[in-house]
Amino acid sequence: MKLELRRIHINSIEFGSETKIEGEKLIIDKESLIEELEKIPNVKSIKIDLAMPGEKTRIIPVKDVIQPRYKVEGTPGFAGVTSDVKPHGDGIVNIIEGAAIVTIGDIVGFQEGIIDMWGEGAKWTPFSKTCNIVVDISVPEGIEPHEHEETCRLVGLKASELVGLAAKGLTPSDVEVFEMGDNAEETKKYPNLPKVVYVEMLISQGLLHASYIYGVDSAHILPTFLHPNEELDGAVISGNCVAACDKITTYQHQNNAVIRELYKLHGKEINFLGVVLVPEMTTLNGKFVSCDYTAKLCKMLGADGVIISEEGYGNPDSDLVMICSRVEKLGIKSVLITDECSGWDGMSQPLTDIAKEAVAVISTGNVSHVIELEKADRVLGDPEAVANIAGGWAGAYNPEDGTMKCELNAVIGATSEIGTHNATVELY
Amino acid sequence: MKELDKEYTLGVYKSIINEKCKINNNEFLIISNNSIVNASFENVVMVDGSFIDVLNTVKKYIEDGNTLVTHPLPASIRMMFSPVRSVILIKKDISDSQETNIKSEQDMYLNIITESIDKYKSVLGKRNIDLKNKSDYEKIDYDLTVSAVEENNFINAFKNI
Repeated sequence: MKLELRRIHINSIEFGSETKIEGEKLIIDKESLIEELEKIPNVKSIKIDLAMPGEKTRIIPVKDVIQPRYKVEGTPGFAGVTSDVKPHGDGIVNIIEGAAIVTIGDIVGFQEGIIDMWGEGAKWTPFSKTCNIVVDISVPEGIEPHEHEETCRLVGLKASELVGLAAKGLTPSDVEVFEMGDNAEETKKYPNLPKVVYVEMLISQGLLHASYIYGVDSAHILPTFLHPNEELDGAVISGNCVAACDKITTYQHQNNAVIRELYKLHGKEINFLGVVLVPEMTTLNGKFVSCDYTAKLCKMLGADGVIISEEGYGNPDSDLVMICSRVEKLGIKSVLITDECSGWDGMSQPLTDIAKEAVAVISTGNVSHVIELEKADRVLGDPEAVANIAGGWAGAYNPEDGTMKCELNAVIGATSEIGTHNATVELY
Repeated sequence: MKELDKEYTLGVYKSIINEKCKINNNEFLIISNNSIVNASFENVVMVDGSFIDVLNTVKKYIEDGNTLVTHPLPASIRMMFSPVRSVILIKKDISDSQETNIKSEQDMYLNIITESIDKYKSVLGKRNIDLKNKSDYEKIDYDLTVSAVEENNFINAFKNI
C-alpha cells in the first residue's frame, strides 16, 4: 500500500464567504457548514466557534477531535461510516495541518475533556497548539443516548470532510510517503531485521466506551490485523468520550505516533509487520479470548517483538498484562505503553494488575497529577462541566479568583497511551 | 448523506430485551446498587450503599464460591467516580470449573477483587463521589451491563442451549 500525506500548514482561521485556504489562513463559510451539518439526522442545531492558541478560552466537554483532510485519490471519507465501504490505506491525502475539528456537547452530565488554549492547562494537551473549529451539537429532546452519541460522532467526521474541502486542488510541497508491501515482500527485502508488531488495544465496552474499525463496533470482533496505512487513512475512529486523558481521539488515530515511529524505523532497524487491533472486552472470558488470540496472531505473524499500547484505565490493565505475559511465554519480547494512576503523590501502584513478565513499560504520565487552571475569559461548551471538575474534591475550586485544581485525567490527550501528547519520560 | 439506520443504532442495544438474549437467571446474578439494573434484570443482589459497598459485596460472594463474569472495575477513570457499579457473577453451583483446579480459579478471582478494591480506594483518594450526575451514571452503568451480558452470551452461546 502507498499513502501520500500532503500537508498544507495553516496558523489562523477566520470566518468568510467561502471555505478556502489563502496562504497560511483557513477561511470557513460558517453558514454553509452549519447548513450541511444540520442535515444530519437527529441534529437540532449546530453552533460553530473558533478557538486559537494563546486565547484564554476553555473548551469543555470535548467529545472527539478530528483532523480536517481532503482525499485527492483513493477511498474518501471514513469508509463504513461516512462513505461507502472500501479499503483505506492507498492514495493521496491533503491535510490541513494546524487545524482541528473539536466536537462538544455533553451526552451525559459527567463528561469531562478540557482543552485550555492558554496557561498551565495548554501544556498538557496537544490540542492547545491547533487552531480549533469547535462544533457544538444540539439534539432534540427524548432521543436515546446511543442515537445522541452516533449523531455527535457523525457530525464531527462530516465537519472534518467539509472543512477539508478547503484543501481541494492544492499541491503542497510538504509530502510524506508511507509505502509498505505485504509481509512476504518486506521480509524478502529485509530478511535480517527483527520483526515487530504493534498491538493497539481499543476500548470496546459499550456506550461512550466504543471504537470503530471501518464502521464495525470493536466490541463485536476478535483481534484483527491491519496494514498501518489503513489507520493513518481513517479506518479507525473513536466513539469513546468518557476517559478524557487517555481516550484515543480520531485525530490521534489519524496521526498514530507509534505507527509513525515504527514506519521511520522500518527497513532500517526493524521489519514493521503491521498493526493488531485488540478489543478490550468487559467479561473475563472475553478478555481471555481476546488476549489468547492476540498472542497467537503475533506468533503466527512471526513477530520477534511487540509494542503494546492501551486505551483507558481500570479493567483494561488486566488485558495489557495478560497479553504481555502470553507473548513473552511464546518467546516474543514485549514493550508496554500505558498511563498510570499513582495518586496525587505518584507513589501508588500504577496499574490495577501486574505480571512478572511486564519489565519494559513506558509510562505516558500519571493521570492523578494535579494541575492548577486559571479562570477562562471564555468557555465554549457547558459551564456545568466545569463545575464537575471544580467540585472534584474539597478545596478544588477557589471562588475568589476562579482558579481550580484538576487532575490530568480531565484534560484531553494529557496521557495519551499512543504517545500523541506532550508529556515525556525522563530517566534519572 | 445516508439516513441513520435506527434499527442498526438501537438494534444492537435493544437485542438484549429480546427473549432469546436474556441473561439466564438460573446461572447468573448481578451485584449492583443501580436502580435501573435492579428494575431490568431478575437476579439482582441490590446493595444499599455506594461503589465500594458493591465491591465489598462482590468479594463476599467470591469468598462464598461464586465466580466473576465481568471485571469489578470499569474501563475508564471517569467511571471510577461513579456512585453506582454493577458486577456480574456466576452462581457457585453452576460454575463449570470441574476440569480445572477450582481452588486456583477461586484464588484468581479473589486476587482480582482484592486488587480492584485497593485500586478503587487509591484512585478515589480524597475525591468526592459524583452524586450530582447519579442518574447519568446509572444509564451508562446499565448500558455497560447490557453490553457485558450480550458479550457473555456471544462467547458462551452453546451454554445457553
